[in-house]
Amino acid sequence: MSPSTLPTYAIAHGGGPWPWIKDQMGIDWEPLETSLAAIPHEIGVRPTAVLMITAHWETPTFMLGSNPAPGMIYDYGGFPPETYTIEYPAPGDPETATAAADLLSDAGLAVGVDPERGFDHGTFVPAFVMYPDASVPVVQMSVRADFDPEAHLAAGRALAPLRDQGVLIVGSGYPSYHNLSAMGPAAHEHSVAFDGWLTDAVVGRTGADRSTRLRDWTDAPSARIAHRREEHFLPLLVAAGAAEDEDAVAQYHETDAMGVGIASSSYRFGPLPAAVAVS
Amino acid sequence: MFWKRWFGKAEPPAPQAPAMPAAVAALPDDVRAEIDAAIDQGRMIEAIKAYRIATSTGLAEARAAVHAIAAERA
Repeated sequence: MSPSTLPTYAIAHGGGPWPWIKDQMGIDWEPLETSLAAIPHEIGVRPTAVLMITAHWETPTFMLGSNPAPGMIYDYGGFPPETYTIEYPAPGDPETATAAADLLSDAGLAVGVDPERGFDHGTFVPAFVMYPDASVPVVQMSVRADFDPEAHLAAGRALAPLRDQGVLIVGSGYPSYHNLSAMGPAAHEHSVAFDGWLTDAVVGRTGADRSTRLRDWTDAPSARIAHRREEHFLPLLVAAGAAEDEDAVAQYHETDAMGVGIASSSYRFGPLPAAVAVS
Repeated sequence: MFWKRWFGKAEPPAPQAPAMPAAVAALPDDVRAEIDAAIDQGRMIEAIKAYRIATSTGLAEARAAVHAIAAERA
């Protein structure tokens, strides 16, 4: 591990455009907001780019967004009109997108580059909380529509060298629970069960021990209730694969997320850069 | 709750200088110069690729070797 290698993160990105309307939603977003805003301070350096694996972009093969000036995709419904004019003017980074695509291709994974893709809310919401001045270039990566867990772990392994070059890899989804059709009181029990399994699988384990558990995530308690579709789980596998042999910590946890009693966690994989870790 | 023990857990230790793989010493001079230059310019991905091509090693091994070379040059 190089002292300057950046860790990776698997984060919960919240619901819809919450940072812009949090006072209207009746939900306490403070724990999540604090955890996301803490990331730049934790790593202590300005990344050359953020590579955001977004749950809201599903494609047959992995895709990298190479648009140098990404537009906005308001991929949510039922929110106030002002949330459909939000701008997050961070630049893209075609060079990092190409480098990521090359690494995936070198690993034998089919990959494409999309020069048109704009920022969806799986990207611009956490990016805004982390870097509100939009000063850090952001590159989006899709999840693969076949939802193959091993492919997402392999993608992470392939992308690991980006961490050595100052790229912050962030898996943006809802690792612990994302089932919009089961968000009532009963969700608490299931989210606690899956979140507990997930934290046990991620924290305190490394290498094949951790990756095998994550690959076989459907065996976990309440797995298919927590993730009826796994697009919000898969970004974690990329983040985990990119730091496979490194320790992880829970970077955020609460048991009343979304205001409906959901257990939710985010994780950091790998140590902080040395200059920060010793300070 | 079980997770509290993880929140209370100390940070992972700071990274240590990795051991230098034996294959590094056997690199041709021109390849070593190419890798050194890439590291010095922050082009770590190119350094790793150059090492992989020269040694026919996998990504993880090449990355570890380049980390070791970078630590030596730091």
